[in-house]
Amino acid sequence: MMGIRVSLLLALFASFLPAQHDDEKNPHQTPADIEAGGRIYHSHCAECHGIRGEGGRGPDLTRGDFRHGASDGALLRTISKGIAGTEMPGVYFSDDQVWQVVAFVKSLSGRQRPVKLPGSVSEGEKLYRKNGCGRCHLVRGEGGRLGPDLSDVGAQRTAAFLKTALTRPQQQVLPSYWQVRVTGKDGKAISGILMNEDHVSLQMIDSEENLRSLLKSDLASFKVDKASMMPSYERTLGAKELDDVVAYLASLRRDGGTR
Amino acid sequence: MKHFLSILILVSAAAAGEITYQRLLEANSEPGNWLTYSGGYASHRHSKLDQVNTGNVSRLKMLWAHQMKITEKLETTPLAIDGVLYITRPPSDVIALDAVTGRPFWTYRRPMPDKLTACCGQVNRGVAAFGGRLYVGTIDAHLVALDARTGSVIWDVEVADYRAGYSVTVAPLVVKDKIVVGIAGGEYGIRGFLDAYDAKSGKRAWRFYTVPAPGEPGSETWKGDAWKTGGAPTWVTGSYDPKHNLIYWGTGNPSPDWNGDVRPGDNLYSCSVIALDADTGKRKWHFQFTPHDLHDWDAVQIPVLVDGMFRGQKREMMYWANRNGFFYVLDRVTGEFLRGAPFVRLTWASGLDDRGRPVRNPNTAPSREGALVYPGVQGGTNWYSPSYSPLTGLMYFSVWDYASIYYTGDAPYRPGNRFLGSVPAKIPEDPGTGAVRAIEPETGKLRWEYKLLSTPNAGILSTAGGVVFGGTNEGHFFALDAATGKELWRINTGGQVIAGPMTYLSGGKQRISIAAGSALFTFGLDE
Repeated sequence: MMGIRVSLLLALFASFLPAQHDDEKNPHQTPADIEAGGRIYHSHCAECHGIRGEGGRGPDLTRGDFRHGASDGALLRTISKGIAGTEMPGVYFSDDQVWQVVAFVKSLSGRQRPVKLPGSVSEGEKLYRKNGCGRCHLVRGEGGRLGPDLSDVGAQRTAAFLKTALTRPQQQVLPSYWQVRVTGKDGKAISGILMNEDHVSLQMIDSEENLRSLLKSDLASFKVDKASMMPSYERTLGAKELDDVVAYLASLRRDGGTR
Repeated sequence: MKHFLSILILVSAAAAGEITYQRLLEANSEPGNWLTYSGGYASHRHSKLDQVNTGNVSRLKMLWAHQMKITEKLETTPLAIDGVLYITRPPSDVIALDAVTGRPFWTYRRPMPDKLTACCGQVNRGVAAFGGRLYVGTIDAHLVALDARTGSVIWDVEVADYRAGYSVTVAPLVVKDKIVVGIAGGEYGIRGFLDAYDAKSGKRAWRFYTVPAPGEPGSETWKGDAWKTGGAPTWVTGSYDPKHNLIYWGTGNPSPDWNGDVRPGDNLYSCSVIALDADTGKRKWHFQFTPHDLHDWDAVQIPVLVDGMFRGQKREMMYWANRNGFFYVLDRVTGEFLRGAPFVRLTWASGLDDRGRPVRNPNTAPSREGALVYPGVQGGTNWYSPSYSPLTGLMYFSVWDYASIYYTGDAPYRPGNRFLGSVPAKIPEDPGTGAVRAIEPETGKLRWEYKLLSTPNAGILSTAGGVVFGGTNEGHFFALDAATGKELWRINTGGQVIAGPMTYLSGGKQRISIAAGSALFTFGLDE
């Protein structure tokens, strides 16, 4: 047997060396690095995370609460590659520059003390139910499917953003919640939320929550309305009630997950 | 802002019917859908659809492909439910595809930690469906429940600690109201188990350790602390017999793979099939194919459940083409060994004794100098699904005819690191060949063979149209005559086939889908 030429599968081992980012320390932490990182932050990150890191559409970065990893290495990875399954994209910069952003983001931590929200979580939950929010929104698998899943919304959005979403829902409507109405050549109309589209077909979830695939050649009309189905609660709810609903929504966090 | 909803007009929607246990029990009677990884609890990977048959399969053409930006291997078997295909893509994402066009309705993207430990790629073999939800195991060893219409996460529970080498690559199996899920990590010194979780809450209902602790039955087959790192993972989907309420599941190699000196004994329940009570997870019986395995011959093949005649008697049987090169027939009620015979060239054993225990040949254990043994480390076959056709009574599966040189070495254990005791070597001048073989289960006789250049990694599908589908490493997807093995049709997909085919109806027309390379391909007749 020994005379036979063999090829040991050393390559096997090489492919198992994992990235060591989690153990890495940020080599770019001078005041100049933080300043340089801040410039990148303001042009690339502030739109969602706020000029001062106070959050908005994206999470508040001033609390030092980084659920996808708070180590230098984890932040490098998150900022470089983005976070799968969320709205967080990666920035395609060199590691040197991303380290500077990491230094800046870390410098934001502790700038603001956690603010206790004025509303009542339990009262907010009652109002959520009373107003039928669950007809369109899922919370841990319970509810409707036409609006955004709110199971983790407290981690994803700031209280200020949530309040605006309740009072002025048309201010920022993500394309994934644009409404669609189609009419078949047979005159039947279907409305719902557009999930996907190409030049010959569309995929949607209809108002009865059925997934549907339609060929455009079978349609008499096809209209997209970029408005949200979400009604405004500016007049429906009083100031305290709004605070309560915001407190309830801000309390929604998903358990489990990898980190 | 009610807009379109205010003019809601009710139309007859495609029934977004929820999957019930009853539907899973009767999966064979709704061949328009593909409801479980293996097509039904008996795991025949056989369909009653016959629109595509030996007379017209030559007219099969590609209807659509769904390309994915991945660098890992694509091992998924789609589920087809009422016009939607549910697939997984590496590392542990789930996509709902429109069966007509191949366009996605939604995608579940899972964030992953940096330091993943998976021996053989960040792969996933598919989802399970039940009650309007999908269940997916993840490479970071979680089990996640998703809403089938939106991909929203309903719950997410940790199965085991990925940092210690545990991962989930298996497609889960729904039994009654439980999600049964296995674990991978046999190359990391894990302690294997099979778990069941409550479908609604995600709470664990039971766990069966495939390596017993001291004092438990089977612990006499281990010495010292070897059981703590004993392996025996459960990384391929099992089968279920509702009449006897038994779950059958294959178990993988003992750890470390190629150094048996540190784990003397038979090492139960590695390289075995275990039969567990579906409600409690208690073992009813086990059968160990390869006691004290030294060659990494996981018994993670699909248990194929068949009721039929054996030596003139009606029996409830289990057919098993094992990685160790033997084809077995077992009584699935008792675990009794009925017969076994090699289906590929093998040199490690001279045969099986009356109870099915292999009679080992000398000088076939891994050594410092190297021992050349047939079959090679990937075995005579492996995890890729076999198919059984009740129409021909034949078992069809991909086989490897080749050898490896097995070395042994030190195996220090460090959590989360490989725990192997060496690595087998290929023989460059003799890489071996592959084939699809059709075996008569009762006799073990070879009915026919379709030869391939290299050792295949594709599962097999058989249909009532008399067609057997399979694939090659070189990217071919092909259709054979189930009775003769004659090739009836083939196409080069341009990417290696490392998955099992399945079939379903879309708009009343039969479709066949296969993952190959980085894409899912769907075929139908040129109409």
